[in-house]
Amino acid sequence: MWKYVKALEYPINIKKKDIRMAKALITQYGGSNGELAASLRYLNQRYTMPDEKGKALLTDIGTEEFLRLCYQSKGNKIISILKFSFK
Amino acid sequence: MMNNFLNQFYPYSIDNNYPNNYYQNMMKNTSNLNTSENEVFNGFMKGNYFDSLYDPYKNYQPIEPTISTERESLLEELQAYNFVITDLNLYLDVNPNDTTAINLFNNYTNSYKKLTKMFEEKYGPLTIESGNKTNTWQWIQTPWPWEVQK
Repeated sequence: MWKYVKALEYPINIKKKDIRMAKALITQYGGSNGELAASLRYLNQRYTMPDEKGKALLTDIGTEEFLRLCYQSKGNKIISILKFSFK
Repeated sequence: MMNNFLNQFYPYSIDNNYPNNYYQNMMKNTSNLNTSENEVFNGFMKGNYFDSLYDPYKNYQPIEPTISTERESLLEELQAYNFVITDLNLYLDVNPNDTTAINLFNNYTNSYKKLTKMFEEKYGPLTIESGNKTNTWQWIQTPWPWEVQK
């Protein structure tokens, strides 16, 4: 189950526009080795985990990866950088 | 029967959760946990609550986030506790019998709950189940995290 918290994981303060940085971040966000792919890998691999610790750990790490999307730590950065860039 | 079947593909003992206490040995040096509340913010800044597991990158020093409003400072404190809870969560997954860590975890979750309550009374709900305290729907009035505050 997913619960949304209306806060970031870590405070962010964007000071300048940087479209190259935004480009790099967006691959880390949704690219083939980005947070989205990683979280889904963890959350699917946990079903075949034979021990209790492994099940719990993969659930928590998968959630943690997902947080980066949900809390928008990275998404927030990209959106803010892009917003600044096109202003 | 099931164990024997699985052992063909997975050579480790299932009862003992990985061979030779793999995780425990990996994290053995974390037995002396930080117990002071100052360590919450410290760990939050570094992204690692466990000093003994922190390898700094060259001369990198964490940059302190710029906090200008009261809302931001309260939120930062909340985020710090949230981080420490998550880090202890992962630690406890592999060290489930560490009572010091469990006590710390309980302390921090209590502080987090108190802070959340404080924050929500002032600045509106953080989660939808926190409830609505005014006659208007607060969820659509309070700012979203991606909106640049000025």
